[in-house]
Order: sequence, then C-alpha cells, then structure tokens
Amino acid sequence: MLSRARRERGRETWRRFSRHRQAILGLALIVLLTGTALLAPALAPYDPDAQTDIVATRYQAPSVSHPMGTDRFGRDIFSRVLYGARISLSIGFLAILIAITLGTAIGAIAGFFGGRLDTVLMRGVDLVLSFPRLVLLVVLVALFEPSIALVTLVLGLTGWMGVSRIVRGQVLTVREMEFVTAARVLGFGRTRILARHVLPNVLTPVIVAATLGIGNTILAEAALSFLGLGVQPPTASWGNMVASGRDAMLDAWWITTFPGLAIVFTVMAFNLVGDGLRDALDPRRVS
Amino acid sequence: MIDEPVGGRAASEGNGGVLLEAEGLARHYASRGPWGAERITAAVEDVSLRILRGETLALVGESGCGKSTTARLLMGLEPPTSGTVRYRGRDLGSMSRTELLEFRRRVQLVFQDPFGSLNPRMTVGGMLGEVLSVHALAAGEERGRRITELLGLVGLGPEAAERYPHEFSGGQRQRIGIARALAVEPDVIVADEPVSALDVSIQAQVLNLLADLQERLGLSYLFIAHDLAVVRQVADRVAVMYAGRIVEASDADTLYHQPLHPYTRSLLAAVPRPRPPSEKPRATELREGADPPKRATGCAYFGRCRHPARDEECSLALPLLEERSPGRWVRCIKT
Amino acid sequence: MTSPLLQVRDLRTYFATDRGEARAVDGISFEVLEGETVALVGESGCGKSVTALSILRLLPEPPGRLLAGSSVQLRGEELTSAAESRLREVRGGEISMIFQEPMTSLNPVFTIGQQVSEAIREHEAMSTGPGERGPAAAKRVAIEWLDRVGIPDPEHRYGYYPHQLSGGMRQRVMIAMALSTRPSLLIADEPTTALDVTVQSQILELLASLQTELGTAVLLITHDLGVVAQVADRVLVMYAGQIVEEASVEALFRAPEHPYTEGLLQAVPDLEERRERLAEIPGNVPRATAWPTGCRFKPRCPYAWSRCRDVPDLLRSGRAEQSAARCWLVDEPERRRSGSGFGPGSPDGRREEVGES
Ligand SMILES: Nc1ncnc2c1ncn2[C@@H]1O[C@H](COP(=O)(O)OP(=O)(O)OP(=O)(O)O)[C@@H](O)[C@H]1O
Ligand SMILES: Nc1ncnc2c1ncn2[C@@H]1O[C@H](COP(=O)(O)OP(=O)(O)OP(=O)(O)O)[C@@H](O)[C@H]1O
Ligand code: SF4
Ligand SMILES: [Mg+2]
Ligand SMILES: [Mg+2]
Repeated sequence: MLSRARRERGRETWRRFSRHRQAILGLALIVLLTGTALLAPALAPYDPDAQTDIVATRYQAPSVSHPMGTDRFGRDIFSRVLYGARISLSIGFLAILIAITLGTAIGAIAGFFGGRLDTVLMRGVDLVLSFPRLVLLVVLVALFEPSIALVTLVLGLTGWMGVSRIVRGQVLTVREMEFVTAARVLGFGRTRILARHVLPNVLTPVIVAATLGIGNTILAEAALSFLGLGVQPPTASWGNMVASGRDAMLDAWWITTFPGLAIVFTVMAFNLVGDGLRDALDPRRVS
Repeated sequence: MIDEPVGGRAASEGNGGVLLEAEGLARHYASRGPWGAERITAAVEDVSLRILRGETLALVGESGCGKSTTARLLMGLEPPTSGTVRYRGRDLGSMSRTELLEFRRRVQLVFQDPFGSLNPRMTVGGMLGEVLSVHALAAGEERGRRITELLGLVGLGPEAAERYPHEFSGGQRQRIGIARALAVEPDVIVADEPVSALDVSIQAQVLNLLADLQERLGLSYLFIAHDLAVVRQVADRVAVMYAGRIVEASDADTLYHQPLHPYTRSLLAAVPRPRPPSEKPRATELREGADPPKRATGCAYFGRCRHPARDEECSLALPLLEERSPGRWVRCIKT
Repeated sequence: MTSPLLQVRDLRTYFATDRGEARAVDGISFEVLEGETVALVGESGCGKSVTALSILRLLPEPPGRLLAGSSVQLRGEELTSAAESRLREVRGGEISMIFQEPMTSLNPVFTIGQQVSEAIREHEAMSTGPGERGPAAAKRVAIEWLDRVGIPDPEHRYGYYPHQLSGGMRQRVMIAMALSTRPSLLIADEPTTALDVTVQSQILELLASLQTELGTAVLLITHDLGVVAQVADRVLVMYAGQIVEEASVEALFRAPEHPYTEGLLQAVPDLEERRERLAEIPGNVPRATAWPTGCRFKPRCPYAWSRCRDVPDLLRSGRAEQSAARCWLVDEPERRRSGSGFGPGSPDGRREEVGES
C-alpha cells in the first residue's frame, strides 16, 4: 500500500533526472564501469598479473592483441585496467560509505542536540579539517602497513567532515520546521524525532555529497597508490598503474595514459551523476 | 504584578470548567543589537487567560504582538520567563514525564502553514499511524480502521492514507494537520492562524470543519487569528493583544458591538468590508497614527492612539487590565 | 477619456512545467481607463500575478511564453512586440508596479533614499521639474516624495536601510518609488497582503489620495473582497486563468452573476454578525496544468447542468451596465432559482476526492 506512493515519487525523481542528458551519460558510464569491474575475469583477455617472457612482451605499444599495450613486466594493461576498476571502485564505494555514516551521525547529533555537544563536535571537525587531507593520509598510512583495507578505512575516516557539516547545517534548518514542532507536541521522544522526522529530510544533500565524494575518494586512492602508500603491487589499482609508468612516460605513454583516463572518466561520471541528482532531488522542484 | 485571569464567568464560580489556564505569563528574548549591545524583547508580558470546556477563546492582534509566543508557552514548547501554565489545575512546569505525556495527548496544536507542518517524507497514513502507535492508542487492524475514521472526520477518503503531503492542496493539508491533532483525542486544540494561509474559498470549509468537530467531540479551542471577520465567526470570547499584553477581552458579541479599547476600535474600523459601497456602515471610526518609537513607560499604544481623551497621563504609568463589568476586561485609563 | 489607457486582448501566457504546460493566463481581455481603479481578484494560482508580469513583459522566459495573438496596448501602442529599450522606458515610467513583499522588492544594501532617487533619475524627464537635473534635484524630489507618502522626518529617514523600517513604512517607500515618476498606470500586486489591517487601511487611503491628486489609473491585484469593495471602481474576477466576471463594484457586491463570485461572497465571514454556518464552495482550487474542461468552475458549481460541458463565453447581461459573466446562467437565468445554490456544507456529506496531481 505504501509502496505505490513511494514508487510514484521515485518515478517523478527519475523523470527529472533522466531529463538531465549529462547525468544520464554519467550514469551510463558508471554502469559500464561497474559492469566491467564485476565481469573483469570474463572480459580480461589476459591474467592481469601474469609475467611470461618479460623481455619479449614488455613495453608493447597498443595493438590488436594488447589494445592498451603492455607494461614493463609485459602485463596486459587492458586486463589490468579492468581488474584495477574492481579495486578502485570498491575502495571508493566502501570508503564513502564509512564517511557518510560517520559524517551523518556526527553532523546530526551536533545539529540536533546543539549546545556544548555541538561545540565540541564541530571543533573536532575544524581540527581534522585544518590538516591537509593528503598529508593526513600519508601520515596515517605511513604509520601502518599499507593494505587495501587500511586504505579504505583511512579514506573513510578522513572523508566525513564535509558531510558532517552539510548534515549539521541541514539538521539545524529542519529542526526548526513546523512538522518537528508537531512531533514534539505529539509527545514523540527525541530519538524518534531525529531518526524518523529529521534525518529523512536531510538525506538528499547527503546522497549528492556521497556521489560527488566517490570521485574524490577514487582520486585520493590513486594519489596514495601513486605515492606507493596505497594498494601495493602487484595488485593492480589505477593509482599504482599510473605510478609504475611514470619513469617511462615519454617512451611508453600508454602505461600511464590508460589508467589515467580511467580515473578521469570515473571521477567525471560520478560528478555528472551527482549534479543530476542534485537537480532531480531538489525539494524546491517538488510542487 | 499579576492581573486577574481573563476568563469566563464559569471559571470564577468553581474551577470545574477550566481546562487550560495561563497566569501572568511572560516571555523575554535577548537579542544583540548592531553594536553588540544586548536588547531584551518582551514578546509576551503578563498574559493571563482561561480556556473553558467546549468554548472557543480567540486571541487577536497584529503581527508580532505575541500570539504565537503565547501559543508556544501554553503548549510547553518553551519555558516562560515568568508565570505559570496549568492544565486541569496542574502546573506544566512541575509535571512528571508521564503527566507531560498525558498533557501532550490532551492539548494539541494546529499550525498556520499547511506546507511546513507535515513531514514531506511520510505518507499521511504513516503520520497518523505513528501517533497511534507512540501513544498505544490502536494497533494492528484497529489502527487502519482508526486512520480511516480520522480521515473521515476531516472529510478525506481512506485513499488519502497512502499519499504524501505534496499530493494535496493547501486546504486538504490543513485537514490532515487537524486529523493528526485529533488522533490523540485531545480536549483542547490551540489553532495558530489555521486558515490564514488558505484560499478564500477554502477557508470556509476549514472553519465549518472546526465548528463541526467542536460540536461532535466537545473540543475547546484557543483560536489565534489576525482576521477579525474570521474570529467573529468562531469565537465565544475574544482577547485582543497589543505589544505582548492583553488590552481587551470579553465575550464576542459585546466586543464586536461595543469595543472599548482604542486599539480594538481602530482594528474593527480598519477591516475592509465586502459590501457594496452604497451600504457601507461607517461606524464610529477611530483611526490611528503611524507607528512611533516605543516608550518605556505608560501605555504601549500611546503613540498610535487617537482616543479623544488621550493625554500625558496615559504615558505616565502602564494601565492595568481592569474588569469593568463582569467578563469585560480593558487596559485603558480613558475608557 | 474615450480610448482606454490600457487595452489587453486575448492575453495568453503559458509555462512549461514538470507536470506539463501550465496555462496560467488563458485568454483574458480587459481595459483600464485613464484614472480609474480596476481590481483583479481571484484565488492563489489563478493567474493574477502572471497577468501583471505579462503586461510589463517581466515574465521569466522560458519557462513562460506569451502566445501569439496576445495583445497589450498602452494608449494604442502595442507592447507585446515593443523593443526591450522601449519596454525599459515604460516600466517604472508610464507603468509602475509595486509588489506584495516590500522587503524583497527593496534592495537591502542601499538606503531607501538612494533607491527613491535612483528611480527618479532613471526617468528624470518625467519626475523632476523642467531644468532640474542631477543628483541634488533627485534627492530633493525623493525627500519630497518620502514626505508625501507619510514617512515622518523624511530628511533623516532618507539614510535608513530597508530593514530599519516596518513593513508598512517599506510599502510607503515602494509607493513613493512607484509614483515619483508620475506614471499613468500603477499595477499594485497585493500591496497590502503582508500588512496588518490598520496599516493596510492607511496604505489604501494613501494610494487613493495620491491617485486622485495625480490622476493615476490603478490595476489593483488582490484576493481580498473587502479591499475590492473599498477601493475599486470596476472589478475583474479571475478563476482558473480566465476572467469569469466583470462588473462595477456596486453591481458585483449587490448581485454577483457568476456562481463563483456568488459563492465567494457567501463564504467570507461577516464582521457584523455570526452566521450559523458559512456557505462553502465545495472542492479544491484547480491547477494550471489541468484546468477542468468545459466551464472551468463546473466541478465546484452547484448549478452545473449539461450545457456546462461547453465552454461559456464572457456573456454580457442586461442586469447592470458593462457587466458580463462567463457562465451559461446569464443565458438561462431561470435556472438560478431552480438550482441549489451554495448550502452550508453538511458535516457528513463532505467526502472528497484526493489529489489532482
Ligand atoms: N525565538 C525568538 N527570539 C527572539 N525574538 C522572538 C522569538 N520569537 C518571537 N520573537 C519576537 O517576539 C514578538 C512576538 O512574536 P510572535 O511570533 O509571538 O508574534 P505573533 O503575534 O504570532 O505574530 P504573527 O502574526 O506575525 O505570527 C516578535 O516581536 C518577535 O520578533
Ligand atoms: N515561473 C513559473 N514557472 C512555472 N509556472 C508558473 C510560474 N509562474 C507562475 N506559474 C503558474 O502560473 C499560475 C498562476 O500564477 P500566478 O502567480 O499568476 O498566480 P496568482 O493569481 O498571482 O496567485 P497568488 O494569489 O498566489 O499570488 C500558477 O498556478 C503557476 O502554476
Ligand atoms: S490608555 Fe490612553 S493611550 Fe492607551 S489606549 Fe487608552 S487612551 Fe489611548
Ligand atoms: Mg504567529
Ligand atoms: Mg500573485
């Protein structure tokens, strides 16, 4: 019974989203990327880590048998880009999940309860924000043994501050709205009001921030891996692929170019979808 | 100084009929001026009133005079700077948790803004169901039946339950807000400008609905409005507020036929009447001057007052709210 | 005073929206004569503001568009096809406009004096005396106008910012700005809706006295029938993008012809006496994307019969001079007597359809 109305609402949002041509392009790209990442074992022509006869196969320019060429170990770049997509995308998704959860919780609590709690939490945010994120990442990763799990966790733990500020701001607005007063008058408890009445009304900007954040996270992962602090070779991630090709940039441009392009397109795709979502979910456009 | 509560006769003859009562309510807000100097705004000052069982008390006055603040204080949504609110004789400030929950069930609020007062992310059925479940009023199949019944009470069909607020017109949303208030089976409803945001052709529907509900469920209303014609239609008694204070109160017929306070008189004179020009009743009109700077002492209305007897005496001391004849209260030394 | 000051013919303004095309103003025609006050009344969303904006070509285009065949003539000069430069002269010059919200229509970062002066200098030729030019003259005239609209101590208040004034005072400033260029027509879109009644009555009186003095015609947009009765000479009642009734104030309030007008007059509470029950107009205000077919009031009309499936014209009636209503009852007046009229809505018989979304 309730699902019908919800479905209608979803359809309305989809209709507005689908009118956004660039967003659709972005979504198509993301679907394509995710699809290829999932199907990487089936799609990849070679084993991404196979190093057979290095001397004969290394530094091959793109050709029919190696569409994106090979690297200095003779590994097929195309296969590695496909497998790298799995790593980069899952780190992106998981890290943003952590960041969003943390950011929403902290922002919501600070905004809703206000007072000293708010001051303390927001000072904390300021403190974390006053370090450049990359420096923070480098320090954190340098302290521990680099691993995929660590990279994900660290990216998540350093990415929530923006979200918490957005959420806090929204909660401050929603908290003053009359339907929240109505809930108080009806004798609802504070937890219920926060969870059922305030939070659902601040999710729109969170979803948008999450979508835009995935691009950033993937970029940050690439930067870490480029510095050798992220995903460790031989596991392929786009970042460490770019890094591994940087010495041979002029002679073997394809080693850096293709994973680089993958990063650019992915970040762009998420940003386009984020922009499209922002317009489609904008409550001012709901009549 | 606390004046006598503005209340009907029934009130003073034993307290049985009094449901909600305010005594000497005041609410001050501190704000910072442009140079950081602290300024105190007295939004509500020395307001006493009683709401009796089954009656409609209207609170009227211009924008910013403190009507909504009074409503919030009566609802216990913010604490008064001084004064007390009592529900059936119990002080709101010293209620236990369970007593407070009971108070929340008995006294409900209806809002002005039919758009902002409903959670846009919940269906109407979800909203009503939540109220019923939090107060354990109905569960299971009974809940669905009760939701249908509540919607019926405000003239909406059962299909409304599965829809979201944005799918309704302003008047329908206002009914949903009323249904939500009715879900807890209250006996007092504080309605803060419930029809001000509605179209003219929809106002009558909601006013009639409120009247029907009062008759059927024996509700008491505190009806807040700035439209004197609307108040005429609903009120048994009227209290007129000016600058945070009640300046006149009496039963509605008397107030409309023989307004005493100069402010009430100029309010009534200023209401444009939808009558052909040829038959416009131009009663004893009392116009008022432009808004002057506020005075610290004396009658707050002094600057705008055009009462023929107005003189320096008015600006010396704050006039008291006095009972001139049974049930007729006026705060003016010259009438 | 024979040819009209403003003549609007078959004005149609549509908007592209998410829900389809909103026919906000759908074929309206009316005239405003020199010096008269015409009230345009109707409920929220019926197209009043869009009408005003269309006259001055201030619509957001897109999503709005003025349909071909629409005509707005100012003393015979077509405005729908006029050049933008000419329109800029007209706006604030021959036709001024004031809005409902005096806070948002005044710029918060300039003093009120600067804003009135600016309006005066923009249309210098019309606002200041011959040979008077420049900022000093504009300032002098501005202070004169602030005084004229009843702002106490105008020299001092000249330097006030909008937020330092009350709503009523801000609306006075708006009036000063609008009238200082001595326009032939003032379009006032709900000028007193945001104000308290006592302030409203002061503003309406101010407008009326300045209008008599300057001979300005006023197109007053409002939803308040009381305001209409107080200030207007003629009334245009709008419903669902169309004018459904046109009459002199006296005729309109004495004997409304269109059922919608009749219903409205019965539904508004009366200050003089408490009624047992208010009459109700059943149903909801329709949306611009889905006006009802046939007579647009049909779903809410107690008199509706089979003929109302056809769209009625604005029919002239013999009842009063210059009155007309878009209703078949004008043709068949005997039906009004046999019809049911607007009853007080019964408590139980009121079940309604939800959601015209
Ligand atoms: N939270 C607050 N902080 C500071 N001042 C406030 C606050 N709430 C209200 N006020 C002030 O108190 C006064 C009374 O406000 P209130 O909202 O009660 O008026 P009202 O009579 O309901 O007006 P309206 O008809 O505009 O709703 C106003 O001057 C307002 O500026
Ligand atoms: N910018 C816009 N975009 C889309 N639709 C619009 C726009 N402006 C107006 N409309 C449509 O035009 C219709 C008429 O609007 P208009 O503002 O003229 O109403 P109104 O009669 O002035 O109402 P109100 O009393 O609320 O001011 C509305 O129903 C709305 O759907
Ligand atoms: S007390 Fe004086 S100033 Fe106040 S209203 Fe009465 S006459 Fe006017
Ligand atoms: Mg209020
Ligand atoms: Mg409008």
